[in-house]
Amino acid sequence: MPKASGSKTSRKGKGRAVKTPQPSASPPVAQEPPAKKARKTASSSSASSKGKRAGSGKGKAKDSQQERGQLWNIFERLSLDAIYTVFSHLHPTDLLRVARTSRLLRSHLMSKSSTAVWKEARLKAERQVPECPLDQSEPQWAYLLYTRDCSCCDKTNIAKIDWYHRVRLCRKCSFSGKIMVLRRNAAKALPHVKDLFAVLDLMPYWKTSPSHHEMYYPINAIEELATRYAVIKAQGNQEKLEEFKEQMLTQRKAIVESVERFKEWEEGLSVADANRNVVYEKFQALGYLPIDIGDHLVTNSRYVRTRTPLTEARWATVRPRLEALVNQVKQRRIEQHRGRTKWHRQGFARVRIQAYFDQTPGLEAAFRPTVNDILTNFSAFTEIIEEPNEALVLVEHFDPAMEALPTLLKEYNDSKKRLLVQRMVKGGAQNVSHPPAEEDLEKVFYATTVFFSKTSKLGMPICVDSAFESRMCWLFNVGLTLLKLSDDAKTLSACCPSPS
Amino acid sequence: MSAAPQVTLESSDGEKFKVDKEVAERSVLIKNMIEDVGESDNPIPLPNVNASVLKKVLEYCEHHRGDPLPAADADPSNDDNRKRATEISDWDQKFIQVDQEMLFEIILAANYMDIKPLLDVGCKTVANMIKGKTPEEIRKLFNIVNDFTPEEEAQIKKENEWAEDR
Repeated sequence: MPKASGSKTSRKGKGRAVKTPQPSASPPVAQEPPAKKARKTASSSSASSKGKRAGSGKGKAKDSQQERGQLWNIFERLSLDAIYTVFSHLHPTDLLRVARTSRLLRSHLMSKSSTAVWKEARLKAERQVPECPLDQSEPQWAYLLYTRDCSCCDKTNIAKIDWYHRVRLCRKCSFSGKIMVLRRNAAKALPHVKDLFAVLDLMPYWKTSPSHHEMYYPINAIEELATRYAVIKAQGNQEKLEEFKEQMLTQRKAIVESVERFKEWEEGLSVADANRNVVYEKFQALGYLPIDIGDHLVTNSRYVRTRTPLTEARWATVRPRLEALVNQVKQRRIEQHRGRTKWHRQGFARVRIQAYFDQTPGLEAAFRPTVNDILTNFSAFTEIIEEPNEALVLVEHFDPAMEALPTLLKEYNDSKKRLLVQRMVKGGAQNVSHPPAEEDLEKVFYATTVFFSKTSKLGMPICVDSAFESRMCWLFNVGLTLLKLSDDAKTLSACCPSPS
Repeated sequence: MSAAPQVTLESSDGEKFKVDKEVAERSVLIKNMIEDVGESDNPIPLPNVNASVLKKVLEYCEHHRGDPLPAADADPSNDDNRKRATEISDWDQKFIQVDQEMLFEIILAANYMDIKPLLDVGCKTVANMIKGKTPEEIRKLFNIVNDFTPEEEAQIKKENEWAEDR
């Protein structure tokens, strides 16, 4: 059974680009017809791929085709659904190539009904790319993003995209004066264009660099817009002309805004992402851990987040600085881990010391150190806490330190009492020998002035020696009497009411 | 215990295949036919599938007999779905390692018999064959005749507007 002819899709295939003589007769059909969906096949007699190719000299290919007998173009036999399923698994660059193979496939892919296929391909592509702007077709967008060819000549590998005019241009095409024109040269280059500057003011322009003041415009776009402008102006309707200008300016604004977005994507994702990958691979090869390499301090550093690709030469330059950053991250991680280990061990001792304190309340408590003081300054405890990370430290490991704690506390209390009594002596206390003897230490409780600590949450005596050396007036809640510890009359009168 | 119900399928060249109903029903076409006509001993004719292809298709159905049927409303924007959509399992990969003609016959049969997972595997394989090839290589691979003139070919390389916009 012959295949269906003159389908809608085949007509679409005869676009502007297709100006060849009509293809000749459809190919012989060797198979029985596909039923159901296959009935709506992709092929048609008019858009068949068996047309003559002008000057192609494909005699050999045709022979080989005949030799292969039944094996003829699969795309002519498949249903549209199946063809789109195949397309949906391709990369946009593959779709662009497929669209250049034959009229039939071009007609499928260049049809607006294929938008979903292109979109799907874009989403599946290896990295996230910006949405297609309204002024571009999906294939145009794919061509701009993925094909690094010059839009005007045969040069390839053009990295820079002119986002304003949605083209990639090689250096020669950019500056030849035939494709792009400088604003200041426009009048000379385009003498036939009327209202040139009025037209240029409506168009987006491109600068070679942000600091560059020269504005470039594509010549064909100038001519096209100038024609439209002239037609509207010729109508003599000022209101309509203003409306047109307004419309063009809105379009320009939209393009400029979109360019910002695309540039951000281009700089942020393409170069920096590639740089991040390079850094990641290089440091991993050097034996660094991903956790250190992946830190934002490294990945967002100015050596990585740059427009300059991290080539081998550049890597050699920036490696010492980047390595210092990675080491900094590593060091910080190690310190954090150490801190957590110590904090965990201190937790064991803290509970036991607090329990001991709770069992021994009273006036003596006013002179004893805080739990944190013990954990950070008492070597019996710190030696256990400071064990290497690998050592297993459990609650029972603090037993010897807890046994020594009463003695340690007594020594500590006595030293503080001695200090306070010494101060008392200096302040005029009587019946206390100087330096204070062992039996004088308890006389601190008979002091006639009490200084309450302003800084200690618990109102406990300030036990840090340096605090006594300051000229501040410290307050203690020792008994009901006042303990004078400062000679500084000014501070004393400001902070403490005179004892009645 | 009674044996699993079976159906007979008849290929275009008259060969008959007796398979479990569960296996045959991987094909939505056959499932609908059985539902419409009811179970009978008459063979179900498949005039568009020859014996060698049908054998291959049934091999696929047999292997995947217990698989959950694909959800019609699977969200393609979902990352998992997308990932799954681009992968072919090991068994499927081995299964589809056939010559090009058989591959296309399988795709056509899967399309006709409405076996979506098999159609997907076939289409993915064709897509993998296309990936990274130049237009000329694609033409050679699929026997596509280049019906563009050299001028047109140069022109379409850079022109990618929608056909309707022209």
